[in-house]
Amino acid sequence: MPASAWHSRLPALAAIALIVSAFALAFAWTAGFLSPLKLTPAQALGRVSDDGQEWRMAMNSFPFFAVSSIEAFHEQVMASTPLPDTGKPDPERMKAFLARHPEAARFAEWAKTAPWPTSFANTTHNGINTSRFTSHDGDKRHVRCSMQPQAPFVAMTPQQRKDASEDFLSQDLVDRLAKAPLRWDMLVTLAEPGDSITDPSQEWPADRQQVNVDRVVIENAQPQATGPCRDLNFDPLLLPAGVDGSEDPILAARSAVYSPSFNRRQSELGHGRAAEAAGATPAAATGNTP
Amino acid sequence: MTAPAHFNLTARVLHWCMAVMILAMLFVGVGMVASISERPWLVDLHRPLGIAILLLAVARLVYRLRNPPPPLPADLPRWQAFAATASHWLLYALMLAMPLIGWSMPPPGGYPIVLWEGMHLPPIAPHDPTVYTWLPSAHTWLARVLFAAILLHLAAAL
Repeated sequence: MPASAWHSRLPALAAIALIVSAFALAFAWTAGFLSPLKLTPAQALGRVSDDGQEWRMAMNSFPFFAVSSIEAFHEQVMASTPLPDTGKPDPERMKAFLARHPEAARFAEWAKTAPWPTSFANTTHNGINTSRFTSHDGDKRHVRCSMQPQAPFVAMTPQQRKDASEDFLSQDLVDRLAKAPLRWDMLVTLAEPGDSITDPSQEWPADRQQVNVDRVVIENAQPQATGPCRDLNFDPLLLPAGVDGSEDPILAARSAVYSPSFNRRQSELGHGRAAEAAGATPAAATGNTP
Repeated sequence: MTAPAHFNLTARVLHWCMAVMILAMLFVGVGMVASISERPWLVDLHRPLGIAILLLAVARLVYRLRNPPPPLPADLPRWQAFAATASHWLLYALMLAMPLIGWSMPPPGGYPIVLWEGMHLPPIAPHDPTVYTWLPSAHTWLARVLFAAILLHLAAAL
């Protein structure tokens, strides 16, 4: 083709290149390829019913969350990442994080002073994040769920804490289940106007109305490394009809973070590294192989 | 019967509906795995949109097989004609494969397939970590191939 023919086509080719590049660029931006954290820079207990609907609950013994926003959550994870040389988080960075986030310092104080229960069976498990329930007639209420044990709370003595092995809670659970099933009441706490919906680090006042909606009975337990829990992602937004997440941004963040984490864990299983998938470090896994 | 000179109206409506849906789908897809805050509604949109694309892709394939498209321009160099035919079939293959992989992906990971609240699809694969291992990466890589193919298709058409 003569050079002049190419020349006359140049503007058209340039326009095509521009349009195609614009699409490619928009795609890369959305996919987070352009940001250092690989994120879209848009904004800084499983229950199965008869009809297959599921409610995956992951609950915690602490009564409130350590941080109040996605940004603080991210900052906390970065500040608590172990340094390669010491194997421990950078203490200066952690101190600066706690100074910037008083709610995280309050959480650290709670963790240091709260008594330790002797068993999973006498521990209250809290949902922490806020959900929204919809009634049959369309009425919506913000709620927080918790599991109240029927066994009375017993705190560990200092001696018990010193002697406890790493997995004594799991062992205790197996021992108790060998004797009898364990029971919790599922309590739903209803929000009043002014209660924090978007900030899981803020507890609701203790006098809020609580509804006892169900009883959870545990009859047997399986080990984490081989039981069915291993192959499930406890995504807090896997909810049955009538239950939704709320404006609490931590729910979306947990859902977003658990998914790739779960995919990596399953990938370890798929590549025959079951011990690592169950939580062992590669060195420990080879050391402990029976 | 002589071949038509243009794609007929049905074919064009199908093409442009799917063009918008598939492009939106690719953006929703990469956005939902890269966003910390916007994932929930993007995932809720991704599943029904994917199934809609699958249904349309099947309809479009059937329609195309029954109604042959107009021939490529006779003066097109042979390599370009080959590239056009091959890339069109690649696009068809991907627009069927992507939703099918997407549909088969949740059950091996132990997830239900929620189309919308209260509406679940039946699983087409077992709950199995070994199966699950390669599905998300296959879905991701084929999505990138699909996006590249669409860009080429767009550049070639322009």
